[in-house]
Amino acid sequence: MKRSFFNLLLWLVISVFLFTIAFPTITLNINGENLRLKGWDPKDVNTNSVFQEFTFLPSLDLQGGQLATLNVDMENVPVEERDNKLKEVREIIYFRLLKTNPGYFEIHSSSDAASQTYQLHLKLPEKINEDFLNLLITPANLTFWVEDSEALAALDENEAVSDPFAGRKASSLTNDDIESVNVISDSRCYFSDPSTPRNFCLMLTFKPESKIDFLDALYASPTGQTPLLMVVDGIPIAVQAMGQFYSGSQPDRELMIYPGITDSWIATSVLGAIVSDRSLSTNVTISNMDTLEPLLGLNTLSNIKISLFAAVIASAVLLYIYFRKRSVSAILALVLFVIYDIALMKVFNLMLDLPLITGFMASLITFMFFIIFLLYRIRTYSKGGLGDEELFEVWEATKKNYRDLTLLVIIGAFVVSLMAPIFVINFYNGFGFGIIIGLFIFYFPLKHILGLFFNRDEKWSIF
Amino acid sequence: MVHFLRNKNVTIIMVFALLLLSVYSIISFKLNLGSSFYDSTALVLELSETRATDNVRAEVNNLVRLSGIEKEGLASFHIYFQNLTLADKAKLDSNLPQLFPSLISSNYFAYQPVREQLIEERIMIVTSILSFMAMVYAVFKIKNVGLTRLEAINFILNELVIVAFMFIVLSGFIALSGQLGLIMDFPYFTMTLSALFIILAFELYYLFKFQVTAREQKKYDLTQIETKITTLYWPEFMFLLSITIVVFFIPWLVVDVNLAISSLQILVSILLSAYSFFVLRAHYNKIELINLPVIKKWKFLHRNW
Repeated sequence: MKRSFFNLLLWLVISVFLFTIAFPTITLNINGENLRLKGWDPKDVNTNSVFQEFTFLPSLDLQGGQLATLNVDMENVPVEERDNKLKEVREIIYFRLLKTNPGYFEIHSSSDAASQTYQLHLKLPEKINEDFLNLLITPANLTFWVEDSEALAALDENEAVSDPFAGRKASSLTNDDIESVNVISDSRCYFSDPSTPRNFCLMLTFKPESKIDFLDALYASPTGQTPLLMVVDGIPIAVQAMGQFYSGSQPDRELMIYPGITDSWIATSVLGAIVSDRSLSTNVTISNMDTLEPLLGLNTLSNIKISLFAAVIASAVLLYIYFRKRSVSAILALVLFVIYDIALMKVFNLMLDLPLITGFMASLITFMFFIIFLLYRIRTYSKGGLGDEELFEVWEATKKNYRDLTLLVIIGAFVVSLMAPIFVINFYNGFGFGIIIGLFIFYFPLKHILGLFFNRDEKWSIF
Repeated sequence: MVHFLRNKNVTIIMVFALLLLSVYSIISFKLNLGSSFYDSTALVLELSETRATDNVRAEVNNLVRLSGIEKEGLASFHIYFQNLTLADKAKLDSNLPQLFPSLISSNYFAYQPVREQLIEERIMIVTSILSFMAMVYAVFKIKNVGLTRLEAINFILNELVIVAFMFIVLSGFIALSGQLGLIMDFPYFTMTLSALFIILAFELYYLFKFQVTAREQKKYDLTQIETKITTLYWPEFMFLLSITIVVFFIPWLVVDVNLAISSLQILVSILLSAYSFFVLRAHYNKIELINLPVIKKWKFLHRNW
């Protein structure tokens, strides 16, 4: 554990780099002009980067979001069935939302039988795109139109161009025949020109019991010139992709669909979401969309940031009071832990909510426990500083205990991510990330820091 | 004070009193779950001018105890109540126009939140698996420290009982706080998670100290080890306790009133950890839970662990 200037320089560079990511957004008012300081994002370097931002995702409890109130029309539903119908509609929209993967969201229902008001309340931490929301709440009655050879024979050219239904008839396939829908990127997904496939298409898989109906529809086009047309609520919205060929002897249950909507992941996934489940049997409309204040209060997040910062400073002061000059390595390790952990959580775009923050604090405490063990061991080992091997032995013993704990936490992560409620998962995310970062600091930077300050042969030795 | 608390009779009385109170509290009061867990009544207030959420919360709370409040836009509030009676409704209806002169409308709705499926069962499964893993970890941490298998089993059982005691007392405190009117929603249970974590963190601390101290002893004597840990490491323990209070408890006191009250669970867990370190183990670790002569005759239990 001798001093290595190269290693120290390397970790200094890494730490500065991670600090530029972890740096919080600060707005300064200088001479009446607002100056915004913030950490860098990949989009600052390359606007086409796959990962656009190193940032925490907002949460409803600390940053608020948007609330959309949806009215559910129950006029044609018998009074005694309305509560169940409301739950059914809520469930369908919930699953549709889940499939579009909007991050965290909540959907709740409320009703007032006297005023015949039945509503759904959708809460999202980020801005809701009204167009997509309107698409998400369509009834989505799905039909597939196939070639009608008799009608096709009697069709004139103008009609064929102007009317997409001309020469076609509805098949027996509906929403109930679909097993699953996935958004895919596939070069076979084109309509007429193989050189211009879409970026995002849909792959529909029909239920095994619907396979015969699917094959009937697939082979209903004897000329092969009129592909299957997917119609949602009477509007033709997608056609069968022309690049998908069937062997004829063993066609499967999958159908690649070329949507006629914006070629983006979100638009295609919204379409996939609405066709992949039951259709809505009642009319749902957007009643109101407005901002939602943070559920834990307007200033809670900034208060937490300030009080946590003060707590870290106070712990550093406590360390100094207790260990005096020996505390320098512990304070350095503490600072590195905070920088590395925040940077990593921002890189992974974790959601900044209360459980994540408490999980982070739990990992910080655990890390400090081990650093304090280490300082105690060093202090009790020798009053006059440690030799190279002695220092290595002390570091190795503490590191081994920390490593075992990290392994336990990593194994625990599998259980938690599979079974635990969402707030426990978020707590564990904050805790797990911190524990792993702590191990990283134990293995690498701390080793060099200890060598610098506690090796009695070093001129920097503080013994 | 510490000497008084470490007195054997005082300890026995205190432990039993705490256990009895906690069990009574758990059975009688249960949990006071908030609107995230149960259907409730939502009152939607629409005002013509903006008001601070805390202000509206305080005004309504003076009339009827609310379980949650959300602000939509600038001047619309969704206020949630558990078990709102007709008398409560009448009280609200007659007082709201005076409290909020800019009131445009107030409507009541039956509110049904979407709840996570099988939440209790999942928590039970996760807790059981993690507890099992923690036990396996503890068993391996005391390997090769000079204990026989029987001593190791007794030590693990003793520690399990101590942790169970702390969990029961913490649960009793949680139930009591519910009875005193604290609404338990996800922020509250996040603090519960933190409190449980602190109990386990100090348990882990004791385990490491046990490992180091037991290795130094030539002959295993739990009372001697316990005395040595308390005598040698009490400054370190107090220092860790101070750090935990500074990092984990004090920050919540200045953030928000509800979070500050919820964080009392953390303080309780810190006090319990200190109590078990300084007092409980001094008496309890002398007890051998498995000391039946029949079991003691088994030779394989006397081999080194």
